[in-house]
Amino acid sequence: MITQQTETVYQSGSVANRVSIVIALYNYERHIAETLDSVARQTSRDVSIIVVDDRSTDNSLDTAAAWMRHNRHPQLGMLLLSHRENAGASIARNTGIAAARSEFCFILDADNLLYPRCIEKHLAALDTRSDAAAAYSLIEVFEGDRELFGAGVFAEEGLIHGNFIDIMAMYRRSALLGLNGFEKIKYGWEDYDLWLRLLESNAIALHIPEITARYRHHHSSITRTEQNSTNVLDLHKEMSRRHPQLRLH
Amino acid sequence: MERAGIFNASDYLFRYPDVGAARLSPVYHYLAHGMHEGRDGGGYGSVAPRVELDLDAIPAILASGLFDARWYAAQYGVVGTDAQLVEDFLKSSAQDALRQPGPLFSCAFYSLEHPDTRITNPLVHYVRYGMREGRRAFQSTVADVFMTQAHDQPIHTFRDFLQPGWPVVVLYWKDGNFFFTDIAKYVAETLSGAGFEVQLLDDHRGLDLDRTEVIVVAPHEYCVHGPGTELAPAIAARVVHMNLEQWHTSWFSLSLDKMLTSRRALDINPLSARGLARLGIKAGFLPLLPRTGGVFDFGRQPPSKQLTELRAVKPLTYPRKVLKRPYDILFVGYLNKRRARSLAELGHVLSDYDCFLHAPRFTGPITPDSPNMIGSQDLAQIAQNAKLLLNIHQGESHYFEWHRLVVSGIAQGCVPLTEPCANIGIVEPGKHYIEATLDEMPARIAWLLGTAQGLREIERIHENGRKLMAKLNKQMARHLS
Repeated sequence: MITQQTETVYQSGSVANRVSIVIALYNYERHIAETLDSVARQTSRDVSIIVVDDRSTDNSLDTAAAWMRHNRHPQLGMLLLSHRENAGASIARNTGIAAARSEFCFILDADNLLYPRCIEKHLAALDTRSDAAAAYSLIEVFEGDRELFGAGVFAEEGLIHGNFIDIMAMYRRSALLGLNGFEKIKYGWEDYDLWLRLLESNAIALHIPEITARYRHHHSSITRTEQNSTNVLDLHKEMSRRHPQLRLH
Repeated sequence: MERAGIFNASDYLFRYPDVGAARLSPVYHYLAHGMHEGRDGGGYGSVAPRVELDLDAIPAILASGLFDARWYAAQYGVVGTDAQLVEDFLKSSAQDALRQPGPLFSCAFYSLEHPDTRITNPLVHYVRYGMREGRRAFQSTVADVFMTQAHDQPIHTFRDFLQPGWPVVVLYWKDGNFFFTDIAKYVAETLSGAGFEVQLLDDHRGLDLDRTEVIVVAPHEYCVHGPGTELAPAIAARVVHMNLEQWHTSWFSLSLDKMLTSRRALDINPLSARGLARLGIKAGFLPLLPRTGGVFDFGRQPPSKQLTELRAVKPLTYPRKVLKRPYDILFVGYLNKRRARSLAELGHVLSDYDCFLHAPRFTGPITPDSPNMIGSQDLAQIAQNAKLLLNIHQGESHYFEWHRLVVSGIAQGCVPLTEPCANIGIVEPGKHYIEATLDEMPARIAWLLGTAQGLREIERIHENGRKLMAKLNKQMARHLS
């Protein structure tokens, strides 16, 4: 798994709680505190937060550090790492996954939000299904056009035509390590690539038919960066090369 | 240009709706683009054929029921025989695009929907070609009003269509929507229960249908794609068609074409049956009910692998008390833009509760074995374990979806919480289901599930639903005997 060298900026509590919420942070000083607030409000207490700052050029790192100091809680594990160099969201996520010691990792983007029962519902789903490698729910899109992501089960019939499942999901850490984490793909779609690799390995990602999280729609959402129409064509080519069964259009 | 008679702005906008949609001045568009594109500017230079007066269409128009002579005479202050009134309509509508033949059909709507038909009068086009081409003809809100106003129309039951002692053949298209196949089975089992000799078939060819009643379930399938294209005219003239489609759809047009041929129809929605009667079709209502041992009697069954393999499903406990059911809210409906937006806006309140939101997106034909599909049997199991059935209409229509609200909801003891529906009378808002607009929905959900008063309301409506089902089943049993 490709990771980056880091410095530990802040640490408190244990990272060995059952769930690590892994947040790749890059230039989201405006949103990171709200995102962390939504994590702190989880009904499930068996949670650690791992934030990996990918050399933000704004105040993101300080904002995250200040939030952690202010919200320190004995039950809530907190770890703030800083990449030595900017490496991209996928590698920052891998760094977080590698630093985790938990059974599960929940991948959260630094501008998105969890509803309070999000982790509780994902844990309940995966606890009853040891055969599932991951679980994802419906996600509400807010700001801009209201939409729903994740409306469908994890099956080839849907995924070969395009990705409909956001990265915001809970994974068994062992499954992520088994896949060598996220790959770095120019212009993005690492989440789609991960889902396809899971599918190709015959793993199951459970669909939780509930809305548990919120995806902020704006022009610089972490997974949508630089996806203009030319790049999308390149992405189609690259994804089809990696996964020949795809029928992208 | 207009004064000189070489350009007609209103004509131009009417002919090319893309110009209006782009908010461009018609004359600017004509000079900058339209002329080069060979578009017709109207005026004396017009090359487009004028709408021709087609008086031969008068009988077909009258037969369609879409021309309402009394309504037309009162609306436009004209007098005459029915045929004279149609002639007046054809002449006047050539000058006035907003002139309507009756309360249901709108020429302007049809022209906007089907710009390629504009060289023909819209109603003439619809009755001659559009209906059998499956062109959408009715706005959902207008159709809702049309049906609701038809309260004085008689509603028949299946007995009024069938000759006592004649055997009945129930036909459906084997490659069609599998839900329609279930309805065909239901029709067969109901008639059989009523003592008729019934055959359920997917092909009538080769059968002697003399002295046999014929019921076609979903005529827009069987008679358009299936063997029904080869129905002998004498049979087609007396078939009882079972309409399953909502009026604003293209499928309804296909169905209407067949229903107007025989003028005998059954509908699963009583309001829709009344609307058909208003069009001059003898129409009856056949309620879908869970008959013991029948196709809609789902009972308790272990959930299938199709339901559970790729979904997180809570343990189904079938508690006796509705408030102990493990799911708070069940939603079932394919996802379109309207539903996605509505559910996203409800996200903050839905996320507090235990929900089962079955909202697949379908891009191609639906097959029963698709992993994204949940069969009726499985859905009923979830419904028997859910307190509320959330219903969000697919569009602007307030059509009462009997199958969803009654068969999947009330019959399973799950209380429908729905956007306002056209009141069908038998199942009443505030008594058997709860209505709330989308704006009211978040507060209503929080009240129902989060307050003692709201929980009592769920219990009350649940109990009313139980009594309603007992009453309907009793009525049906009486009817069958």
